[in-house]
Amino acid sequence: MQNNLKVERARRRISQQELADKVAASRQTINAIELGKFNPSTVLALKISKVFDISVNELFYLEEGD
Amino acid sequence: MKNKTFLFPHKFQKVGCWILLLSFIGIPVSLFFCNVLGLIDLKNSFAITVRILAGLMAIFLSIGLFLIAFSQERFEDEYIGAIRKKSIIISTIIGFCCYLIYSTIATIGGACMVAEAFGVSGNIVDPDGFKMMLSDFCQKYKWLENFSGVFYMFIYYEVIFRINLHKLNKSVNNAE
Repeated sequence: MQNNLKVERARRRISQQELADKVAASRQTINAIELGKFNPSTVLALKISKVFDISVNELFYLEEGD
Repeated sequence: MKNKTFLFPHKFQKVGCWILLLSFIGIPVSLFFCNVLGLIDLKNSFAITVRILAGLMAIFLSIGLFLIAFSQERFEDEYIGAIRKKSIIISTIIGFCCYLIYSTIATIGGACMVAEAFGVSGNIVDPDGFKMMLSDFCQKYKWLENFSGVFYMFIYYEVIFRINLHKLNKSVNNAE
């Protein structure tokens, strides 16, 4: 699974810490998601997409082989 | 939506650390002072005192490790949970491998001994000697069986978990 988290975050000029605080997660978690090391749960994905006010599908998408 | 983590609150981690410290330093120091004050006589009861001391240390060590291992981190979220899960799986695999190695060695070694003892005649020439040999053999590899125990699995888990957390923090600092 890939994501546009870093792009969306940069577009809105939100730091990893700010996003982490908004979704009640740690900065490490946000960093791991951005690097593709960790796939968030549905709840966390929904929370993040709510912060950016876009749908989950726009933020997270499947890559070939998934 | 709340997920139940079945973990102790974070403050229990500090309690666990204090209990660990107590088991490593507190018990031997108190024993020393009891000896100095004459409350116990180490000269006459050294073996039993050491045995009790080792038992007490093992109990406190286990409780301390348990509290540290199963208390929430300062910020416990689903990624930390995923690292916990990974660490538990790896520690269980290590424990199982130790058990498997010990069982294999004990079985093959024991079977070889039995075959050697029975020999061609089909009778054990020296049954007592054989029993002693078998017991010595098992004692020799007993440490390997211990490494597959729950206590060591706590230690594997804790070490693997802390290494992973350290790696995680390092990667975040590098990303800054």
